[in-house]
Amino acid sequence: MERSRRRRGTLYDRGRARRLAWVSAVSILFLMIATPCGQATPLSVRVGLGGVFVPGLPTTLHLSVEPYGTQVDGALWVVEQQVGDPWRGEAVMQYRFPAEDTDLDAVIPIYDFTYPLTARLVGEDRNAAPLAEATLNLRPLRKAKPYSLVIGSWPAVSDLDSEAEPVLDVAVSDLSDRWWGYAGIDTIWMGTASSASSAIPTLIWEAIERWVVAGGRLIVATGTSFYLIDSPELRELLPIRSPTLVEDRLRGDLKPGSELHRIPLQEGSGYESETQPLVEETGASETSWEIATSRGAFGDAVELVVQRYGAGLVAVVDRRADELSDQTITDLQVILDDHPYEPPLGWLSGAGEIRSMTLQRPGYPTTVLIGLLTLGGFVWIVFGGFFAGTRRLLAIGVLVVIASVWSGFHVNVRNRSMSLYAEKTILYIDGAVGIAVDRVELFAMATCDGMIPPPWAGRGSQRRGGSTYEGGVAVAQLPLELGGQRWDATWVAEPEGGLLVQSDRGDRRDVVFLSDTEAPLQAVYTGDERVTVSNPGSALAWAIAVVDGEFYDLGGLPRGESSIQLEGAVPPGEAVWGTSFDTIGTELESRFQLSEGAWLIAGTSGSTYERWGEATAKVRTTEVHIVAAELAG
Amino acid sequence: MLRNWQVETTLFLDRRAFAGYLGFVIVCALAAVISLPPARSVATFGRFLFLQDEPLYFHVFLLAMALLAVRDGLLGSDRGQSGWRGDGAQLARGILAMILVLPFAILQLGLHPGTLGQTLLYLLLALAIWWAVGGMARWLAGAFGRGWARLASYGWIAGYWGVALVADRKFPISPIRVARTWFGVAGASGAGLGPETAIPWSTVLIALGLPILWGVVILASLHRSS
Repeated sequence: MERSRRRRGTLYDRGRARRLAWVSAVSILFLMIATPCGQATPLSVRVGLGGVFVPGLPTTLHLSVEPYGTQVDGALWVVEQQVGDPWRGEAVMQYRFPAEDTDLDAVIPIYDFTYPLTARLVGEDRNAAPLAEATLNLRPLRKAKPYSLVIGSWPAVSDLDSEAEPVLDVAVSDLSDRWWGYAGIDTIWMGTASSASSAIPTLIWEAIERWVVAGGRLIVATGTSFYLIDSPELRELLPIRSPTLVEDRLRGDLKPGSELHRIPLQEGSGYESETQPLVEETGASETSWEIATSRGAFGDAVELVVQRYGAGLVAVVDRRADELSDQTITDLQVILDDHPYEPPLGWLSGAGEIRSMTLQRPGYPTTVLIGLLTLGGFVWIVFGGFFAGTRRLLAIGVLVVIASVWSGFHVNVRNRSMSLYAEKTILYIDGAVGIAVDRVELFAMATCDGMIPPPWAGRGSQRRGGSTYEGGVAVAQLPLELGGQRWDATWVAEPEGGLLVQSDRGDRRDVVFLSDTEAPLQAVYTGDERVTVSNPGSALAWAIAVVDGEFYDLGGLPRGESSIQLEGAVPPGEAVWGTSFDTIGTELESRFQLSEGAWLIAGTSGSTYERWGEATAKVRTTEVHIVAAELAG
Repeated sequence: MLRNWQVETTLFLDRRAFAGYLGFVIVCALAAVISLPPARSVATFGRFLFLQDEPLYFHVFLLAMALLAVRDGLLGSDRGQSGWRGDGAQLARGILAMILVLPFAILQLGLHPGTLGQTLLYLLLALAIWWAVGGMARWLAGAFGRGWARLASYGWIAGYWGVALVADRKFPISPIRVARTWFGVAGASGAGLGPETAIPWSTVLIALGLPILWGVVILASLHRSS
């Protein structure tokens, strides 16, 4: 029987079937485990404050992957965007951030919305399949121009949202702690705070403060909820001192140079405003808002105080945002229209100074002289009849050595052709906080990859958000028409990194870096024609004080503290800027309204030779500091 | 140390040989001056762009070396040079030619910084071409007469350089392509002589015109002397 069953193979069949079942079950189990591991982990991508962005301007970017099971050691976040098309020219912009966590908070410029944004988390083996990958359709997120943000509750402003005037509500937790993250925002409307969770962290307040310095507009209408968001940074920003609540209205002492406006609630009552003069004219440092209000009897009116802050503006309204009507908002916008927002990338647009930059090369006269020496010497030695045989050869040798040494000296670093020529214009806007706008104009004399070091590397690099190396943002300025050329750049956010710009001979490239500064220049105008300056940086070659539009040439500015008497005012309209600062000086006058208040403007310039990756660069730097002088009592 | 008679009898560096070197130095000096970009500022960069877009000096230098090598080979044949001694003397004269224009090569380092290695390699290439062309001219002149030697040597040069003009990109070891690649000049835009070339006409005229003009002068002088 057994033998017959064995012969038929049933014994073997049963065992084989059992083993096969086990093997299949285990295989399926392994397959089920292996399949998710083989696939790239889902990657979440979020851009923009309020989920939108303005093309060409820096915007916030948040990337995150599933924290469990994702190995980020040695990994790299790579964000890539394609710009343009084959007809108008193409560009590929790439951003690389070392992955130190399973999420990334960064600010990058987004240039175009035609192509989706791709984001990858690449493992240590850069050529292997990415650990996580995602694409984001940018088309529905695009806003044509800078938009308004509402923090807290401000229904009348939120209702204004339209294609022409975009307004977005944003939670405090979504705000950026980098001022360049707000480059696409033209106005922040800070409305009624609802709870203690409305409090804004210090880092975010500092970022907002710097954004206002860079030209942003902040309108505060917290009314009775003021203390929910109160902070030292807000008090620094507000145009009033010692804010207090009087009968549910915010009151305080007007800071010098502030403007008090009254918007009547009844139609036909007329719009009134008055400006607080500078300290030396009144002899007092400040005026109480209540005293100012009592000067006129306007009936029931919304009152607001407005003051320039750097290149921006801060307004504080005395009531809660939810008490303000649409008409009041319209009146507020009239005031804002006098101070239009311009993203800091557009500043220094008139530079173009690189056109005047000298292209280095050995000079004609010396080259001709070396040629004549070689030729003349050769003719004299060979055909002059003074030398023969070995002596002739020796004489030729000596001649060649002399001419070669001369050539060698002639092609020293000042006469040597450079791969890149760069004109750096650095504008520091200083004060309680400092920001820097570095514009780099590049001209490529040879096909090369130039690694432009981030300007903040020299000012002390820093880590933000506890993870990513980032002291600022680099924005390649892409013209709308790329002239059929390629314009590729890669941002490498690492200590030895920078913006890697690929360029061909004859290419022009413009890049703007936005960052903040840690040790800003500060000035105090004491009202007795004297200005006290604290300069923690290096000495500056020239300095100008501007008080009520009158310019005073201060000569240079030494490092450290100095007290300077203002003498020999140059009336407005007369040239005070040197030739090399003419363009930037004119821009500053228009951006900062130097005709009002007290300002200190100082700068220096110089040339250096630098190694930018594989390229050698001649860098001409123009450094300008502008600071609104504090008005001492 | 070579003795006086050795200089003239072993290296054959007599006045006739030096006359060829003189022309070579003149051509290279001119090329060195012309190779300087006329633009002095970024604003004027586009001016005379054709003079800036090519490593003109290297184009002219190599072709002039080749043409001088033909002359040198023919002179060597006239003097009955042969064997390894003849080759060695020919090589020594090639090195001397390159040493004579060393000051101009150093000037080029100022125009193409960071290319010392490429320059040395290019000089080696020039020496190889010198040896090949000169040796060919010397051997052909001895075997078939000066007429055939000239025809074959100049034909070889025309072919080698000519290929570069019609199929520059498909013939990466052509002398013009080598100079363009090694000395980091951007792919120039402009008319070429064939569908595969990107060499502008202006470059062709200057790079070839100067040495060819000088080659004609050499030929004429050889005719007079023979």
